[in-house]
Amino acid sequence: MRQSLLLMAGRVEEMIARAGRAFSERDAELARKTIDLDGAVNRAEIEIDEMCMRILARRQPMASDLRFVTLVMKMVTDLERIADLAVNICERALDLSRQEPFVVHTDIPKMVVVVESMVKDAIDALVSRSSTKAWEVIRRDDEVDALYHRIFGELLEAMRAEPTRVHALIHVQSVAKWLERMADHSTNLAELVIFMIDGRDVRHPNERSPG
Amino acid sequence: MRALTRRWRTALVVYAAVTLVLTLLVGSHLDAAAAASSASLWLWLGVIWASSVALTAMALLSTQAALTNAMQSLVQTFHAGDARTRPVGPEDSVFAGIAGSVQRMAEELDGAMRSLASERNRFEAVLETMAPAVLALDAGRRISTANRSARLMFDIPAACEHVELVEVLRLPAMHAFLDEVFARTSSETEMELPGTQRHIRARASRLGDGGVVIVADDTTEIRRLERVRRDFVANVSHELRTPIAVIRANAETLLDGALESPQTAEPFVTALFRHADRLGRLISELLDISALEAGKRVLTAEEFEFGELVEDVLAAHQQAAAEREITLAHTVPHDLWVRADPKATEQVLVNFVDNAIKYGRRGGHVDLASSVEGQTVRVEVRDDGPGIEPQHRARIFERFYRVDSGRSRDAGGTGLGLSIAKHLVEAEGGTIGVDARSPHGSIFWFTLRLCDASDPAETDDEQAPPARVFAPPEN
Repeated sequence: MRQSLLLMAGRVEEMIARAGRAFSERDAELARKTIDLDGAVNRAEIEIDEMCMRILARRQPMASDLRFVTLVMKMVTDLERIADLAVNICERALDLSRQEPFVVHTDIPKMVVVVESMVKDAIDALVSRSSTKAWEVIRRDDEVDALYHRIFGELLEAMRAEPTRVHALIHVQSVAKWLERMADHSTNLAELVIFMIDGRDVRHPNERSPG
Repeated sequence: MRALTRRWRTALVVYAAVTLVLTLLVGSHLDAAAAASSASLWLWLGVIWASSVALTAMALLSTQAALTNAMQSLVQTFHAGDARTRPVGPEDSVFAGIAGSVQRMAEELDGAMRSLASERNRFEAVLETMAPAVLALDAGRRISTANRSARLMFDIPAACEHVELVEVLRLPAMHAFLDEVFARTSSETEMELPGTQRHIRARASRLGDGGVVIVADDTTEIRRLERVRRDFVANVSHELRTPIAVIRANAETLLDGALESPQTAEPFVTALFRHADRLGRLISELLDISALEAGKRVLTAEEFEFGELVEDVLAAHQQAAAEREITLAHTVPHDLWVRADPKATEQVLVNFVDNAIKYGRRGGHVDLASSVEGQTVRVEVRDDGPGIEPQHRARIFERFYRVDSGRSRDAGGTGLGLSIAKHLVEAEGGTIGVDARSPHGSIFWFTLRLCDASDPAETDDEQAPPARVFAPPEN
């Protein structure tokens, strides 16, 4: 189960990097190849889910084993959502590749690098059982949010200045939003890893009832 | 008695039997001779015989114990890994021969072990310094060896022995490749490492113990060079053929009768002139590049006022800028002295400004700026045009590389200007590049050596004079 999860995460990491490049370089072929990878991620999600169900039903795991199984079930959902967002980015890349040459916002590749490293480090934290590393992932989410707000502001100004480019600029805005969503899913992954290692639920600290 | 070995036990029984017979013989002889107090005689003889057997048994036991102890200490010494320690006991003792044999055997073993260890160290040193990445896995896909190149190539931590590969390397292409290798005996593939965009060629073979060894080479640079060579040959023939075809077609038209009427002939002759001129420029630039690559063009290092050169270049481009309603401006201090080849520097600057005007936004701005970093000056030519996509930025200094081939050819470029500029700047020990400008546009930059006499503080960008604008001439 652990191996299948790690392989699935590897595919998702690759999809993020490829989708980011396909969009920045408006590379239709790379976008199509990346979209094709989504099938393997979906299959992996179903297989891992079934594996977890089997283990729950047959072996009735307890304590840390139970925590691991539930964690894996949640992680595959987040990973699959990230892969879907990468597919969305590739679809926009395909659309842009059919239009006039256009340089996407220079911060988009930076955002891709940060998001990819967040997914990678969240999974590395699981492998090395390091909650410190997982906390670093959570902190990096603010960096992505700041990049998103900056891109959003600059795109808004560019749309006002050049209304003819609005179509392409809206695509860039959507991609920035999806990258920001990917960072949120990576944060979920990191929170789950902390739960597994420390047994402490760090989600929504303000919503928790005392005691 | 059970403590003695069987052979020694037999020897002791034989000794007891022989001495018993001797004692009985002596006893019967004395008994017959003395005939008095025979009971006492037999008692004494029995005591003597029993004592002699007991003493012999004790001597045998102590000899055997000494030998056992000596052997034990010898074995313990070997076990501790030191075969050079001499065994205990005198040289003439009964076990000296045995101990000597054991000692020789241990020394031979130790020698073999040392030679194996040195062989292993040598093998590991060779493996570590090898350029190709070597990754050996056992049948359970756990890492048994990963050399330095492999650790760097796949970003694997140093302490990775016996760790499952998927824990440290989640590259899907690699795992798919391994599935194939485990199903066959050997295989070969090419794959791209995500993130770094490097290409590798990996070959894998099965090992006798069910494991796999993978040897991988970084082929990124080879692929790039192959592409550059292929593109160059294709481009140079294309670039030469196009003007020749136009010249021939126009000359044919003129010969077919267009020559008779000066009005009809003029556009053909103009096209002939334009394409002949382009062909001439192309050939002279090709020769220029070839001279630079062969190191035949000698660059001189002179000290001159860079600010003055900037003003001259901008003034010469004023007309071209005005045609595209582009405003030229610069913030380069007039007294910025640099040490370089003036002609080469001018050629680079002219190329950058020329490109910025040709590909910049109509009605936009082209700015020149300089900043001093240590002993070098960074010169930037900024435009606010559509910008250059990242994949083109990496290749734009290659010969004949065109971002938008139709457009740049229409603009009269030969496709060699930036490549020549790169050669010139690098020949003078500088660096050259292009960055994206936010929100759009490009920054072409190169570095020059600052003149020793020039004071960096005075030429810094922050203290630069207000921008001098070259306004388009009024029509």
